[in-house]
Parts: sequence; structure tokens; C-alpha cells
Amino acid sequence: MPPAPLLRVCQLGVHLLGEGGKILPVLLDVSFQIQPGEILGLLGESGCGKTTLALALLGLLPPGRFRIDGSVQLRGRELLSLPESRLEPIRGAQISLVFQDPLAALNPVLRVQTQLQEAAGQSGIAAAELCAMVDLPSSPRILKAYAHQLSGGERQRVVLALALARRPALVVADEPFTALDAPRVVELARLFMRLAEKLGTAFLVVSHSPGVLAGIASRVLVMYGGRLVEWGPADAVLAKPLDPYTVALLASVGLAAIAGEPPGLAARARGCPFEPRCPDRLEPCAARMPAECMPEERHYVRCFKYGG
Amino acid sequence: MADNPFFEVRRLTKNLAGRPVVRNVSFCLNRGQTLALVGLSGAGKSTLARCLALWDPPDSGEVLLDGTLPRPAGGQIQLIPQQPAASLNPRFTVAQAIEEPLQIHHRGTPATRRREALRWMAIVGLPAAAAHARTGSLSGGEGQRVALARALVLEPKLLILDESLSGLDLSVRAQIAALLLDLRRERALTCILISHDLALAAQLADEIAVMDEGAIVEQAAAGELLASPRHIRSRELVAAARELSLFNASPSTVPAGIAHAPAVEVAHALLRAAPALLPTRTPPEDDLHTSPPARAPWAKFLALRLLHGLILLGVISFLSFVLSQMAGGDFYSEMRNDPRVSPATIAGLRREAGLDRPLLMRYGQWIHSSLGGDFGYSLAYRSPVAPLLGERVQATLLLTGTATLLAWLIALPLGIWSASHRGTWRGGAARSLTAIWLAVPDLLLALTLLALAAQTGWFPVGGNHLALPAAVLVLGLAPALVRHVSASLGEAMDSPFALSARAQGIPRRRRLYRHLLPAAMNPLVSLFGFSVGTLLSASLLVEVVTGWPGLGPLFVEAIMARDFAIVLAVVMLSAIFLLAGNLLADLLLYRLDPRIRTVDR
Repeated sequence: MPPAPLLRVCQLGVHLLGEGGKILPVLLDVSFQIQPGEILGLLGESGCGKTTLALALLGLLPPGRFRIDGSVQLRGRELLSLPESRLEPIRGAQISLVFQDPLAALNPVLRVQTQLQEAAGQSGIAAAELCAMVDLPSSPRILKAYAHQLSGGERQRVVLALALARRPALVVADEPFTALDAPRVVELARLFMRLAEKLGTAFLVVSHSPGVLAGIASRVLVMYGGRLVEWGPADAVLAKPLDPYTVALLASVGLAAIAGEPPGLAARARGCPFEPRCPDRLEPCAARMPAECMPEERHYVRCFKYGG
Repeated sequence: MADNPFFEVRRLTKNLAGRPVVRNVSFCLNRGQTLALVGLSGAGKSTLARCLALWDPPDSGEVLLDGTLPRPAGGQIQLIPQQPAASLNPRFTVAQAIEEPLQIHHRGTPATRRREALRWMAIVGLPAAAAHARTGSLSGGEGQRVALARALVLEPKLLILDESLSGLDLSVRAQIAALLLDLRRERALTCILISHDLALAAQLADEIAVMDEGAIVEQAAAGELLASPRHIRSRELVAAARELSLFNASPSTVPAGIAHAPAVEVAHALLRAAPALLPTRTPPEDDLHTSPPARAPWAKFLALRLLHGLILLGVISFLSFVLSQMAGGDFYSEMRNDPRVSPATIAGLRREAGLDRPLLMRYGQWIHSSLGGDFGYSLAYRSPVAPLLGERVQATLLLTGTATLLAWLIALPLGIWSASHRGTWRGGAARSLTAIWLAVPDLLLALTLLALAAQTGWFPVGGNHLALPAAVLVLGLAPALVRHVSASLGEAMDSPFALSARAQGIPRRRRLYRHLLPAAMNPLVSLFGFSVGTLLSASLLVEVVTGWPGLGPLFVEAIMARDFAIVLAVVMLSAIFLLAGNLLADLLLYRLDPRIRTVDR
């Protein structure tokens, strides 16, 4: 028996309620689990639904504009049905979020120290301790600074410290590496690994760069057009990809282009979202999405090429 | 060698805000070559790019193209700035955006320009159907293509790409890179590629130059630099690129069936073979060389704003004086119609009052008397203006001060309430009511209240009672304030940092008052200064209508009598009020907003 998962997401679907009663699928049939202390990678390109997934896990999607179904369980407790007042004490304390653009995610008129104290709330972890946790010197220069006075690397660490301030069991990091230089990316990636090991924090790291996920994630999910198309151990998925999309995406690291454009929301309802661009397309691909199958040990894919 | 290099940079130096950002940079580039400039952010790459493209003049050194000094804005060197999609005017269509450089350089006719635009759209892989799409509606990849076509339509000799490929999805980046490689092959395009991504640079460039703190610290053929970096910064970049290279993680398992360009394979082989160059953990960024942020000195800020204000006052005084004299007629004009007064008497009176002197001399006298504290001489009252104004200024200040304070006291909570009830029916109702209220003219408001007061006796009317004029002013000012408070708080509520505070689990009320309200204060402070500044002019009319004994009735009376000294004094007072209000706002902003207070480091 595997240990009880920290987070269990089951058939999560998110639909955007468009104008004129149109209902547009953003996420379809997303299921995965995260174990305590695990670093799970989510690989996908802009517009595939990564950020929507991150926000949905924390109940941060504006309720009037989205229809959400399926199930998100944190330590066995269903989050999707909780009202805002019951979610508020869970956010930050049990599950928190690191945003894409650290400069925009920091309050421009509050000092770093104030923001750290606010995030820590009643838990009372000192700002200096939080800085130490993320390898920031807790000097007056940092603590008294406002966001615009910090370097890109420093800002990203402050944002991470805010997310860790109440020692949540799970941190969702949405593209934490995009704004950084390669050496800073390596430092931050190593920091995630140390935090997972030392504090037992689990991370869901969302990224469009397979290289960094290969270094830190134990398992990787690949998302395309609002669906998970392949998932399994990082080594297997990133080194021996099975799904035609993952194969093409990894080839584009070597600058081999994929013809065509990713699908818009309206094109997501039926069939495999990669079908129009897929070199291996089969007859049923346009009509319906294949079920998941496991061609290799713990390595899943949703593609008719492998059955499904 | 007899031949000049195709592109040559000699000892280029550029300072920004007194700090050297580019130091003594020299390099050469042959036709058809691509040079990659790599380095950490803040290394001076973008500043160098702007100098190379002649967007900014260097402090010293020169740039030679084909052995000659290129003309700025000559179109021979094109720079695609960071985030090219954001640099396109979103209201232009794709074809317009691509044609515009041709138009600016007066090339061709509208018809040939459109043909050129369509030709370049095809070359960069944009469908002809996209010609009429607005650039604001394009995806990131399409925006890149438009920016490329726009840069290439002038057929430049050198193309500079500033981080154009970073931040793109891998598949889009691969498409744009393939396009660049095609252009190089088919058109011998000479390129400078600026990037912090060494792996990408290695795939696209013949040579790589590493920049650190404004200087080129190492330059070598791409393969050589990756295999044996010498400078510490090059080593750091190579080690990081190696660590982030997917192929490094599992060298034996490059996905099958991938068509690599040979150069790419070489780069990857070199990346794989590169020795581990860094200790396992680089220390956190050095805390010593970055001094605490510099503070813009408070006194200097104040002095500068005061000086601006004084200069402005001088200009206003001159303009209002000249305009008042151009209005035609003066205090004695009315007497001409009186048969009992002879023209000679009028001329005598005018001479006595100094009205027959040249304009500049009269202006000088008026300024002299104002600086002396008299503010000119009222012919109607036969008295210096200052003592006439004294009590009335106090009455007006009492009225406007009370009104401003009350208006803000009412508007702040209403605005906060309205912003925090957005999206509900109550919030919607409040918004509509505010909009209607805003549309009611002040004069109508005053007359209505006056009628109401006279009918019901709820308010004392006229004379020395503050209630009615203050109520009119407050009711006139408050709806605009409610709107602004609600709008700027609403904007803060929509910001990423508001969502971030929510994700941290900070409770709603605390978020609103501790996090969002301080961030929303900025435009409100400017508005506060403005509301203080304009209240004087706004209250003049209300005073006349309600009979408040302030400056208003005196002002109207003086206009009727062409008693220009009083008119000018009131105009100058309202100008001083406006300037003082703005100064107050500036000082408050300086105090409240750290982004204004500190100079970027």
C-alpha cells in the first residue's frame, strides 16, 4: 500500500463561462496525486491551463466566471465544496502559491519585513528565520527594502518565503523560474530540493522548461490543451517520452519546430487536443480522447498509439 | 588585412545616471555572422544594444558599419527590443505595423508598401489573412513574427535581437529560431543576439561574447567557449546551462527521430563534455557591494518643487495681467457715457491712476505693489486690495476647508464599500447612483438646496451661515471622489499582489485595510491635492449663489466694475491655491510612496 497522498485531484474540470452562455473548457479530466515531501513537475506551454490548475487547487478562481467539477482533496478533505470562509484558514497554512512574476506578486508599498510578518500571521515565525530558510541574508537592506529595490533573484526568494511563512504542507509554484538568469534558476531549483528534504514540504512546480524539471522533480505531468497527456517518473517522461506531444516538445529544445499552433479553448471539447499537429495521428484521435494506459512501469500516457 | 570588418565597435562606453553601464566594449563582426552577447541581467547588454542600434548616443567610442559611421534612424541597423509584442501599437493592423518603417523612410508608394508588407509576412510565416488583424490580438509567437518583419522590411544590414526569444514557449522559440536560421542562410543576415541563455546562444551563434559588469570579459567561437570557458562568469553560465540542459540529465537518451542542425549537435556534445565547473552551491548574492538604496534628499525635492511653483506663478501673473488689460475698457470706461464728466476729467483720472502708462510698466508696478503686500490698488474702493480681501479670504478658507474635509470623510468609506461590493447588485446600484449624482450640475444642486431650504426652513439661508454653501460644495465634490476611491481600490484588488495575499491566507478585512488601501493611496493623494487646489475656484460661484461673504461676491462685483486689481488678486490667489494643493500632494506622495522616495539602484 502506498502512503496516503497529501493531495488527490480527481477528474478536475474547469469551464470558463463565456459571454452569451458559452461554456468553454479550460481543464478537462485532470487527475493526479502528490505525496508528502514530493516535488512534482507540471510541464506545459502557455495557454495549456497550468495557471488555471494552480489557482483552482487553492480555490482562487473567481466563482462567477468558472464552473468547476471533480474533486480536490487535501489530506482527505474535499476543498472544492468549501466556502471561502473555510478556505481562508487553509490557504497559506496548508497549501500556498508562488506566483509567476515576483515583482507583481509583491505589494509595492509594504516593506519586505512587513510582508513576511503579515504572511506568517499568528504562527509567528520571525522574518529573519524565513529569510534564512530561502538563503536570503536577513540584513536591513533586504528587510527594510520595497519590492522594486531588490534584484530579480532576491524577489523570487522573498515570494517563496511568503509562501513558506506558515509552513504549508504543499507549495504550488507557478513558473517560478521564468524571470531568472540561468545561474539563478539553478540556485532556486536546488533550494526547492533542500526545502522538500529539510521541511518535508511538497512542491508542485509548474514550468515550461523541461531541463529544470529533469533536475528536481521525482515525477512529471505533461499538459497540453487543458488535458494531462503523459505522466510518470521524471527520468522516464523526459528521457524516453511516449506521447507524440511530449516527443515534439522535447525536440523543440534542440530547436526542431512543431508545425501549427496550440488549440484555443473552443477546440478543446472533443478528441485529443494535439491531433491537428500530431505526426502519428490515428483515425479515432479527432473523435475522442483515449483512456490512460501504462506501457511502462508507472509511466502513463493517453494516446491511441499505445492502446487506450 | 585591407578590408574593413563589416561591423565594428570601438571602445564604446556608456554611463547611466553617472554610473558606467557599458565599459570600453570593442568587437568586430563579419557579414553573415551571428554574435551572441550573453551575461546575467544587469550586465549592460540592453544598454549596449541601444547604443549599437544608435537609439542612444554612447559617451565615447564609435560604431562603424562597412567602414563608415552609420546615420542614426537611417534604418541600416534594426533593434528588436525585449518583449517585441509589447512594443507594437495594439491598434495597428499587422500590415500597417510592417509598412510603417517604409512610410517613415519615404520608400515606395502605398501600393508597393502594402506589397512589401505582404511579402515579408509570407517570409516570416504569417498568413496573408492576418494582414488586417490588430497587433493587440496576436499570440506571443505571432507578435514576434510581426516584430521581425517590421525590422527586416527596411532590409537592414544588421539585426539586433534583445532577448527576443526568452520567455517564449519552447515550441514557439524553436519556430522563431528556425526562421532566423533560414534568414541567415538565404539572405546572409548579420545578427547580434542578446540572451542570458547560453544554450540558446550556442545553438544560434557563430561567436559568443560574455558580458559582465558592462565589459566583454571573454569572446570566442561558440563551441570553444562552451568547451573551455576561462572567465569566472563564463564558467558560471556554462555550468548553469549544462545543469539545465535536458540532454545532460540523461546523455544517452536524446529522443529518437529528432532532426538536429549539425551546429546544435555540436553544441550539445560540448555541453555534455564540459567538466563540472562550479562548486555544488553558489553562495547567495553578495550583500556587501550593494549599498542601501539611495534616498532622494528631502530638502532638495522640496526646494525644486517650490522653485517650479514660483516660476509658474510668475508666468501666470504675467499672462493674467496681459489678458485683463486686453479685455478692453477700464474702471473709468463707464464714465464716458455720463454727460456730466468731461473727457478731460476722465483722462486726468486715468493719468492719476497710472492707466495711461505702457503695459510692461503697469505690470511692473502691480508686481511691486503685490510683493509689498498690497496686491495692487482698487479704484472702486479707493484702497489697497489686501485689506479688502482679508476677512473674505478667511471666510472662503473656512468654507472650502470644511467642505473638502467633509467630502473626503464621506467619500472614503463610500468608495471602499463600493469597491468591496463589486459584482454584487448592491455594488452595481451604488455605482449607478454615483454616476447619476456625478451628472448633476453644481449650480442646479445649489439652486435646489436653496429652494428646499427656503421652503422647509431646514437650513438657515444666506448671510453668515455655513451649512448651505458647505452642503452644496460637498455634494458637488463627493461623487467624483467616491468614484476615484472605488476605482483605485478596485484596481489594487485586481492586482497580482492582491491575489498573492489571498493565497497566503491573509483574512479579507486585513487584506483590504493593511495591504490594498495603502497600495491604492497613490492616485487618491494626487486627487486630494487637486481637490484642495480647485475648491477655491469652485466655491466662488457657490458663494455668489448662496450669499456667503467670501471672495465670490467681491470677485463678481469687481468684474462688473472692471476693477481689475481685485480680479487679478483673486485669480492669483486661486493659482496659489492650486499650486499649493499640488505641492501638498507631491510631499504626501513622497512620504507615502517608496517608489518615488528612493532612487532605483
